Amino acid sequence: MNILALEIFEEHEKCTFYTIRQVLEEDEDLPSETEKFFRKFYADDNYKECVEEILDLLDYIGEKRGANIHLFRPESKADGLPKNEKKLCNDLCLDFAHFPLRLYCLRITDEILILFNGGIKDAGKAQQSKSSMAFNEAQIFCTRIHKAFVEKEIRIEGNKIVGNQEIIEL
Amino acid sequence: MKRNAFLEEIRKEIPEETKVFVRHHADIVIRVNELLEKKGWTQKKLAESMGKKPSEINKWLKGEHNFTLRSLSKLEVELGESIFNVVNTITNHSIDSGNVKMTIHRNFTKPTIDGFKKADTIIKNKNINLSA
Repeated sequence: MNILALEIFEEHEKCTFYTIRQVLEEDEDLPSETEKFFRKFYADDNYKECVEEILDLLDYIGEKRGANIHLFRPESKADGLPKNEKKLCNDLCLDFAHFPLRLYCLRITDEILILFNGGIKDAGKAQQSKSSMAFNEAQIFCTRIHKAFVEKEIRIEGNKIVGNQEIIEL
Repeated sequence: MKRNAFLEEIRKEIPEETKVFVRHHADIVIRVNELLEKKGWTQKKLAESMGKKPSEINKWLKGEHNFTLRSLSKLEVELGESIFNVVNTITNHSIDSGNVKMTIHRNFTKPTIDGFKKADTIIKNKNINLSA
C-alpha cells in the first residue's frame, strides 16, 4: 500500500500549487510527482523548451491570473469539475499546436491547483500515449482527492488545503 | 513564498521570447473564452456564425491551433469586441523642437451625420486648443 502526501509544491501570489509525494520511511526526500516530471523532461533536449513553456504557464497562473478555468483541458468531454469522479482530471492547455507534453493536474479553485506527473502525448487518446501511466495515476489521485473532500478529510481555506493530507493510494 | 529549487534553476534559463509568447497566448485564450461567456455563446454557435466547423473552433480555443492574425481578426468581428490591443506609439522627433500641426476630429454630444465633425484646430508649440 502506497502512502502519498498532498503537499505544497510552490506558493505564488495568485495561486498555491500542490503536488503528490510518495512517503517512504527510509527515504523521505523522494521527489514529488511534479518534480519527477520536470527533472525527467528538462534533462531531455527534445523536450527542454516544452518544459520551459509549461513552467512559464505555471508562473503566469501563479502571478497573473490564477488557475483560470479556460487554461485547462478536461481529460474528457465534460466541462469544469464534473461530478463524475473519472472526469475530474485536467491537463494544462498549453499551445499549442502539436505540443508533445502533458502535465496532469487537478484545478480546485482559481487559487488552488494540484499538479501531478505527466508524460509524452503521442496518440489521440492519453490512454494510448506514452503518458498513459501518468494519466492513469492522475485519475487515481483525482478520485482519491475528491473522496477526501467529500468525506471532509480535507477542506479549502482561502488559497490552502487544510486537514489530513496523507492519501492512501487505492 | 515557497519555491521549488529545481524549478528556480529552470526559470533562470527561460528565454524572454518564450515568456512573451506563453503570456500572450494565455491572455488570448482566456479573453476569447470570456467574451463567449459574456455573449452566452457556445463554441458551436460561434462556429455557425463564422461558417466554420465546430471542431475547427474547438482547436482554436483549446490551443491545438496557433492563432493567426487573420483568425484573431475574424474572432474579433464575430465577438464584437477587441481581443488584443497593439500599443500605438507616435514617434515625432520634432515635438520638442518645433511646431506641431495636426487636425483633431471631435466627437460631439449630438452626433452629426458623420458622427464626427472636423474641428479646425491647430496646435502650436504643444498648446492644445480644443475650442470647437
